Amino acid sequence: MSNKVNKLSGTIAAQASAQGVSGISVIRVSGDKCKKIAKKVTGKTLTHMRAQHTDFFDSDGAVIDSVVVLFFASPASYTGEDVLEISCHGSIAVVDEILKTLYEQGARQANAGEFTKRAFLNDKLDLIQAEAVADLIESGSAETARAAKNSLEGLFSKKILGLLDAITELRANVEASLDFPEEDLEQTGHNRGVKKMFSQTNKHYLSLLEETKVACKIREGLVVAITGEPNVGKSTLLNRLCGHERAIVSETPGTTRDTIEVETTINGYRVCFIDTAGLRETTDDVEQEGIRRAKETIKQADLVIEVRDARKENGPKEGAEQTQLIVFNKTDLLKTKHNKAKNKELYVSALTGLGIEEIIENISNRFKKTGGAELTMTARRRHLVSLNESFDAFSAAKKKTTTSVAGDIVAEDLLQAQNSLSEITGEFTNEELLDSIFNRFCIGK
Amino acid sequence: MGKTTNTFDAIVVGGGHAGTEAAAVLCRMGHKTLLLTHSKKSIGQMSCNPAIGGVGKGHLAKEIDALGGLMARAADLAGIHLKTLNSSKGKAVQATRAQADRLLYKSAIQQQLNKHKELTVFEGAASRVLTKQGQLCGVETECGQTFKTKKMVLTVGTFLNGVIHTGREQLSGGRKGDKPSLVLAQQLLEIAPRTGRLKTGTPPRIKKSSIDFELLEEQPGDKPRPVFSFMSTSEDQPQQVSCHITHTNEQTHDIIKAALKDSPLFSGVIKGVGPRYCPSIEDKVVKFADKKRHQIFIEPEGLSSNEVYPNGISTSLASNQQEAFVRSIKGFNNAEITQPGYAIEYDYFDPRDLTPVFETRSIKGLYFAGQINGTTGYEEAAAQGLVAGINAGLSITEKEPWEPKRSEAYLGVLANDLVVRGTNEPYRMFTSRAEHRLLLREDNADQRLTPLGKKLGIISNKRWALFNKKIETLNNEKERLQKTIVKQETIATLDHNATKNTSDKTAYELLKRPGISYKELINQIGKRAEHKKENKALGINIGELLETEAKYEGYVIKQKREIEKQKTHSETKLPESLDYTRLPGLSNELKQKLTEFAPKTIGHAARIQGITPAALSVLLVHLKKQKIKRAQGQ
Repeated sequence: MSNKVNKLSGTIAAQASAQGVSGISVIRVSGDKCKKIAKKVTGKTLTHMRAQHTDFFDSDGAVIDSVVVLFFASPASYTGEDVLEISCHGSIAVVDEILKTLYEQGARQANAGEFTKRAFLNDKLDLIQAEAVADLIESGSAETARAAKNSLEGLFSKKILGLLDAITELRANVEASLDFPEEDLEQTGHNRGVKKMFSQTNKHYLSLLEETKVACKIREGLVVAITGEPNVGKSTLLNRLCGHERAIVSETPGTTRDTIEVETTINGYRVCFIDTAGLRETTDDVEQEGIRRAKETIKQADLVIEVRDARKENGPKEGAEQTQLIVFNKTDLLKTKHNKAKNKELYVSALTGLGIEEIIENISNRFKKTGGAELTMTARRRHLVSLNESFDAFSAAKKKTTTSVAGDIVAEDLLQAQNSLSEITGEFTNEELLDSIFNRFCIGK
Repeated sequence: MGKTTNTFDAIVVGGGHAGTEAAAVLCRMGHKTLLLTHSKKSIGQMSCNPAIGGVGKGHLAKEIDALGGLMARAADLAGIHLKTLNSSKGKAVQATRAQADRLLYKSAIQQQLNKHKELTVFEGAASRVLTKQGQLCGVETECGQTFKTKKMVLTVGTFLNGVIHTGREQLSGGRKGDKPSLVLAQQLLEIAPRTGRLKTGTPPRIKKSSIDFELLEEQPGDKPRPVFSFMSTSEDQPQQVSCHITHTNEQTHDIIKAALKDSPLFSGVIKGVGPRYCPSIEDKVVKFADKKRHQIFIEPEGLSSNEVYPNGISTSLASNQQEAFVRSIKGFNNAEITQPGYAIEYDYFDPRDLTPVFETRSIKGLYFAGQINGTTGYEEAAAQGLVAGINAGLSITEKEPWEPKRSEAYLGVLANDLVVRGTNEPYRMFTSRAEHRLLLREDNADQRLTPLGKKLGIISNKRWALFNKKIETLNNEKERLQKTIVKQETIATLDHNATKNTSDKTAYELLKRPGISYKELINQIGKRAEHKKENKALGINIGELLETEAKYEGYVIKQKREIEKQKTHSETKLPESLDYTRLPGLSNELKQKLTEFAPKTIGHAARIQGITPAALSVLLVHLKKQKIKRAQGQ
């Protein structure tokens, strides 16, 4: 099935404000599902041109953030369609969560320039604007085109094309048995062959998904949460880690959350540090809510560093549940030499800078481990979305092969898996599938 | 109207599978039609293997039937061996195939045609399409008669520059025994200059009595027998016979390899592209050298015929070499070849030069259908004849054309593939060509198309009544199942995978589950009244059909939603004058492809290989820009 035309339809969502950490982020949604989605994620019924302050719920009904929503009914909107603008607190994690929820509720990721394109197609722009926009879209499309099958370069492309081959082979086998029932396709072990292909392709998916996730992280930034008791030196450590490279600091006003997010670059990688200051037991309602959110942030962090005072080594052996690295700070105040660092432990002095290099190295290594800079160049969030969709369909097919479900249904799931992959690689036609069948099997009475 | 006897509403040239369907449907629409054929007695002739249907092809035959066509009914009247293929692989790919008695088939087609009083059959070879100021006005025969018309369907098969090869011998001609019309060929090349060269082949025919059937694996037909037409029962079918299977062996392959130096295929004499799904035995031996044997399906030519059709060894080797390799095959040791196999090369017209309903772009009212458009197979030809015939008929009364959609019928997949992508090998239908395969089943061909046929006025009252009865019975039973509540204890006995704490469900909900069949279900909840009588009257098993609908429902809904979504822009027209080379934002490769394929709509463009969503955006943006410019200019 061709997904191309439907790419031009549907309800789209994307962050409208600049990427990265800022005081407030704006997410824009456009399309006929706006109202339905808003009802689902805020519980509110929207009115044209009216701003409403509301909680934003994820698909399980948990609050993600307190937001302001503003609705424009079609045609009186930027794109000419129903448009919903969500202003939320400016944090990578919050924006990610909100977008994820919107996608789950039926919106899809907007392509580059798609809002403007819709505005253009719906006669919302005058000729001069339209010309300018058209040129912009055209150049943007050329860029997208360059990223498609033929011009995808490097490791990511190699891997994704490898997966495409695997799916194609699988489909060729399944489809051949459907379209050519009377041929003696390889008489021996035909089924076992398919089973093996399923399990190999499954592995292929899993490793590529993992790598793509990491690659997206590299592109979008790694979220590192710094936890620990008050007064262990978290802020000092944070300032030390950011050094003069410190980019943006946003101190979210204290009512809802008491965390500080700092974005910086470490060895060329984007990293967002979240200092969960104020994480302490309290009976104050507002602060408790803050703590709940801080915990939520920690849960979503890619790396959790727990800071401890090196002078109090008799703390618990293990860190908190999510802790991946324990940093013993204030080694400068130690009277005796500290213990030798064990796995997942580091000794530093945020004050003097001793040991900071090791933390930085530790963080950079997490990027390097999984493919490194080359993946950074090509893998995008949209790739991850398509890859996930593809994997879901593939998994459905795989599951069905163990039940009594008929071959045509299995083939349908595999077709969906391939279609999702085509969003990355460019259209795969039925003709190409037939090529693959005829190259593999001697068909023909 | 004051028409002379030489004036017709429509003329169909050619009496093959495309021509007969076109002529018949024009008559069903009430148009006075002339069928011009070089030989009355070969109308409806099966010129290749004596079988109708199979996966994809059976689907087409059923769709033709659902629109009141001839093919499926003839296949029932001539079917001497019937099978349901893929019976365990899901209803969407399940397909009917019949071995047909050639003589019975031909006469069934001719009889159906003869019933139409609107039809005149004239024996003669068309030599010239007549036009007046670029408008179609008739046809001239080789003997000089002229017939006047404004609509014409040309179904002239492989006659264009046909060359027959047997070893190093060459013979120019169409099918064996047919005369090519060089004048017409020349003229058509002016009308539709883009052509390509294809090749196809046939196996040697073997004398039945010279085969040792004792040595061969027998393959009987299915019991109970499937039927092709929604209007037939298995009682309409004649006496049944078996097919047989044998295989080539290494000795056969050695003989063939030794003969390759004289093969027109391998010595470079044949330039046309053959179908990959129907390769010659020479091709198979060379391309799949590690395969130690190839299957041969021995098809009976008919109840009264003393010939068989050994499907799987099509060849263009010299006659003596054919005899040598045939005799090395088990059961064929004393085989007598009655007619050697041959390869035929021919030109076809690039179907991308046709409108989506097979009308030529240069001459309005002139339609091309069948093998002339680069397809192979009776069903593919008949399907095109039907679509071209319907549209010629509609245009006579100045009605909007009917362009079958990919999502409603294989007829649509076929038409769309041909006019959008063209083909570079003889085009044959496969179910994998259809994106909406789960919607396009044999068992629902009537539900998809018969109401349309009624609207077009091309189906009989009898068919319409039977169809309505079927739908009514189906709906009643569906409603009954939807109202019947099945208790949780019963569910546990029906479905071993059911979770323990399942709630009560309707019978219809349960029927959707993979593990539960209609039969098991009604054992628990009881049969509907009159079920036997109804199934017999309708010629189908309503329960089985309902089960299929229930099991596919989820997928069908999903696919229909996809189709809805795609409609947004897919029907937006692309002007023929669009200069793709001047569109910024398209890669050179895409520019070239779009120029070559000249898609008619955004939907068509989307189906060209390599076209990305971004490229479609560029097209849409361009169209919009043009529109704004025009608006501003006024």
